[in-house]
Amino acid sequence: MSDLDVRVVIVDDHAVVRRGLRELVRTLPECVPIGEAGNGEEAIRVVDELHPDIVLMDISMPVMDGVEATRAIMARHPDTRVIMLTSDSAESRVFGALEAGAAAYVLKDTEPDRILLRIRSTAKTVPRLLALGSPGVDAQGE
Amino acid sequence: MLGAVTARLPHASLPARGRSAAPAQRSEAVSVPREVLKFSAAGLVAAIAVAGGSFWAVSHAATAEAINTAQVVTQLDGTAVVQPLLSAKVLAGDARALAALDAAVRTRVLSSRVVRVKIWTEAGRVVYSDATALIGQTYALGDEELNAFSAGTVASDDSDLNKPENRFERSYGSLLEVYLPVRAANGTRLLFETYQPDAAIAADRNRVWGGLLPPLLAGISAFFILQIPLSLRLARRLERSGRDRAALLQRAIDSSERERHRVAADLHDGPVQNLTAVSISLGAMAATLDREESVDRAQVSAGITTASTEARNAIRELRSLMIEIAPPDLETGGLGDALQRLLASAREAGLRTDVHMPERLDLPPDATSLLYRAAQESVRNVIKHARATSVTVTVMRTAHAVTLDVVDDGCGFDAQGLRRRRSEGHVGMALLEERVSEAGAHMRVDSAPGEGTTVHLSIDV
Repeated sequence: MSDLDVRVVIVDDHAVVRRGLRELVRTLPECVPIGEAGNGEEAIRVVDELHPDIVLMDISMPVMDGVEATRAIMARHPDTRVIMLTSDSAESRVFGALEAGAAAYVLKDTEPDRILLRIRSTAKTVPRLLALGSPGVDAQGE
Repeated sequence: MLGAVTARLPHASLPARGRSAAPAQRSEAVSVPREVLKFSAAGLVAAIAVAGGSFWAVSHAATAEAINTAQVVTQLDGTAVVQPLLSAKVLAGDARALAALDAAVRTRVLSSRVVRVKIWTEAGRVVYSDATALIGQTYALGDEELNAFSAGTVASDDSDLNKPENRFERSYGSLLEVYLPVRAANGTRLLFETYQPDAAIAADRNRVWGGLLPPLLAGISAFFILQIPLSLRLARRLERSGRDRAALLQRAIDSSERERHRVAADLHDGPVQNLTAVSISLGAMAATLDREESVDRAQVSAGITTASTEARNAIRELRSLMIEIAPPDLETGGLGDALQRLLASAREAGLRTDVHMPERLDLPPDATSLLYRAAQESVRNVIKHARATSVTVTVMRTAHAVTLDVVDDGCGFDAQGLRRRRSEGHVGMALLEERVSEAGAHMRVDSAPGEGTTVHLSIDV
């Protein structure tokens, strides 16, 4: 893993979904999955420890949900970008996620290509990568 | 008993849910004043009907009693006063004998009650009358008179004042004729007839009425008044019954709602996540195939295997949910078959399973259903939460009870774990506890961290 890679943490309470997302992220050459968490509290700890560029965050989780975790993460790591994964497109849920600081949201049951596109477009806004002039960000934008 | 967690269920019925029970109560509400009014109105109608019938019967009896009195008067006058004076001379029209009879009649028989007297032969001749112009006259006797002669008993009839022999009574208005067969001293059969005004009969009738009416009215009034507190009690009982029924209905609705939510949550947590993972994994493979010129067959194969496994998991969970939504027909297939099908899902999840139960249980359908529901919920919890390697279901029958034990060797839990699961919306066990409580059965959950879990159910039968 180089400094130019996009470092991704995956947060979802279902291990099978985390595994699928991990495989999906790995298909992007510029992205590297560096950690996972099963709920919001774990996500905060993992982000504190690993300082990812992007967090793929499930919105509904036990213990602490994605919105609350996003709010905490953005307060501590403003350069981190959170992409909220939701199972429904209810306006209040989406608005809550964006209001908490999420950079984008994507439906879980959308086509996987769209999730990849969202990850790439969000990566272009990560200050660390912009500062480094990451080739992935420059060359393979949305 | 493993110890740490022992949830012994209360036997008393559950408290009503104030918030959600209210609408059902309103729709089923019984208004006590309205019910009392309805009952009282029905009681009033019944009282009026009873009073009408009673008045008719009393009136009939009073009239019969008044006529009976008139006949008794005639019998007394005829046998005690007139008959001893009916000598052969009277029959022969002897003036002195007739004068003696007339004096006796006028002093001892005639009154406001008896206004006319006639004594007839069978041939219709008037032997004597206080209307002296009639003595010696002959008239055709009516059927009533002839019947009295032949029957030999006292009889009576309304007087026909149009008949010529009654022309002297017209000034008295309506009269009752009473006939009494008597015999003269020489054995001749005669008919002693008195005429009694309707007013006298009516006075007798009213006297009877006066005696019967007050207790009759008092009885009917008491009947009407007494039924008011009875109707009040009945209405309150109806109200209570309606309230209980509404609460029961509301509980059923609440349970059904929670069941639906649980099924929805299970769909979300299970098949939806499995299929989401399948979708994403297949998407990842497609992306890989699109981008990479040389295909890593092992990687693709592994991806497809993973997706296939997740799809099978989704199918298994959907099948479990189908069984849960529409349980097998316990009466047709029996509890044994149903438990075997239930444990098939546990075997698919990798658990060893075992069932022990007698060949014949002879249980009422409700008890069988409750046993199955308890086993279903317990096995489902073992699969989802226990991380067990085996689960054993045992059903035992005693003379007066049937018991179910579902034992696993999983991770167990403590009271805190149980509370946490409930706070996270796992309501299956709570729903089961409700059903057990409503059925008057007893359920106990014994568990401790690392020592597995035993669910014990006992139903009195």
